[in-house]
Amino acid sequence: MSRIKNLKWYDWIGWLVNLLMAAIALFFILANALEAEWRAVLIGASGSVFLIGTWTWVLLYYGKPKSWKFTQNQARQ
Amino acid sequence: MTIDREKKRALLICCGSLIFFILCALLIFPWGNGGIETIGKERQIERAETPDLVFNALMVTEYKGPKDKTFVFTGICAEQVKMDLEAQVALEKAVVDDPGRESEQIKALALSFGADLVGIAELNPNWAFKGVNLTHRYAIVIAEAMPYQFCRYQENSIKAAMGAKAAIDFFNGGGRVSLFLADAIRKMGYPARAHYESWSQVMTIPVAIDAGLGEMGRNGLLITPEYGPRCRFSVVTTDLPLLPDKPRRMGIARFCEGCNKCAEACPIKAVPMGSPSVCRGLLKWQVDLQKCFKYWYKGDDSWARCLACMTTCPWNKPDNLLHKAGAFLASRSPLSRWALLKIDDLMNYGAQVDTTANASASAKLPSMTGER
Repeated sequence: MSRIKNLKWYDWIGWLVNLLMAAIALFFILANALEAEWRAVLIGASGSVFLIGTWTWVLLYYGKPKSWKFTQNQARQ
Repeated sequence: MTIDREKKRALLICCGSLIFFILCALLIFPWGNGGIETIGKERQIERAETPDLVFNALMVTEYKGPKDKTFVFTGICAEQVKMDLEAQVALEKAVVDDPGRESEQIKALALSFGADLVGIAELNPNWAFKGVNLTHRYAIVIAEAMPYQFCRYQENSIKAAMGAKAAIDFFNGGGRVSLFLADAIRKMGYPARAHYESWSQVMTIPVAIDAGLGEMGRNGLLITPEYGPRCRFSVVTTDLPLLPDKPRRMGIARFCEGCNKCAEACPIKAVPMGSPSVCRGLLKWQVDLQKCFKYWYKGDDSWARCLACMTTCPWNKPDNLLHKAGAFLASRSPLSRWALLKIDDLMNYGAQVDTTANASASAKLPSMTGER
C-alpha cells in the first residue's frame, strides 16, 4: 500500500501506458491463437514481453535507489 | 543527487508515455488521406463488351455464350427445383410504403438464402454491357465469400484441392441466391433479373462499389473489409422501390498503392505494378486478362492452384475482431497502412505462393469448360 501511496503522477501515466500495451498485446495474441496463426502468436508474444518487460523495469527500478528499505530510511530521516 | 535521479526518471517516463500516445493518435486519427480517391470513379465511361465477346477475345473457344436459361437445383427431398432466369412477373403489385424497411427485408432475405454481404445501389446505366438495354432502377449486390481456409497458402497440394473445391462449389451454386431473390421480387409484382457470371448483363464490380461493399484493388478484384478479395458477386436488378446504400471509402485503393504483393506474386506478371491508369474512362489497375486467363483457364492444372493474387493480398484475412481493427486502421493514415504492411510481412500472413509446386491433387479435377 505504501508503494502505491508513494506513486507520483508520472508513475500513474507510466502504469496506464503499461496497462494499455498489455491489453493490446493480449488481444493480438489471443486473436491470433484462435486462428492458429502460431508465427504471429510467437512474434507477438516475444515482442510484447520485451516491450512490456522493459517498460515495467523502467517503472519499477530505473532511477530508484537499489533498496526499498534505503528509501524508507531516507524518508524517515 | 536524489532529485536529479528522480527528475531523470520522470523525464524518461513522460517521454515514453508521450511517444506511446502520439503513436496511437497518429495511427487512429485520420490524416494524409489525399491522393487516389478516384479508383473506379466515373469519367467518360465507355461501356464494356459483353461476356461473350470478352471470352471470345480471350480465346476461350469452348465458351459458347449463355447456356440454358433455366437452372435446376436439388431440393431438400432430392427433388429438382427449376428456376427461370427471366420468368413472369406476378400481376398483383405489393404496396411498398417504406423503401428503407423494404431494403432491410430484402437484405435479410438474401442473407438467409446464403449471402455473406448484401448492398443496394442505384443502377448506373454505364455499368451495363454494350448493347444491353437494362431499365431497372436498383441493383441488389450479393457477395458470397469463399472460406478463408481455402484461400490461404498451404505448402502442399491439399491447398490446390481445397482452392479448387471452393471454386467449383461457387461456380456450381453461386448464382443461387440471386436467382431465388429475383424470383421472390417477381412474385411481389416487380420486375427483377438475376445477373451472375456469364448470364450477367452488368459489370458486378462497379455495381458492388456503388453499393458500398468494398473498393477495387490492384489485383482487379473487389476487396471488402470483411472478407478481402475472396468474394464472388452476383446482382439482382429490379424496379422494387429500395433505399440505396452509399459507396464507402475504406482506404483499400490507397493501401494497394503502397503494396505490390499481388503483382510480385503473380506467376505470369499479369497484375500491374505502379500507379493506376485510365481504362475505358475509369481510373484503375488494369490486370492483363489475356495473360491471366491463358494461365488460369487454359493451363493444365494451374487454374486450380493459382490463387496467388488472392492468397497474398494483405486484406485476405479471417473475419475476426483483430483484422476488423486492422481494416479500420488501414483507412486512417499512411503511417498505419505502412505499419500494417510491415506487420503483415513479419507475421507471414500473406505468404508467397510457390507457383512451381506440383499440384498433383488438382490434375484430376473436372475442367472449368465442362457442363455446369
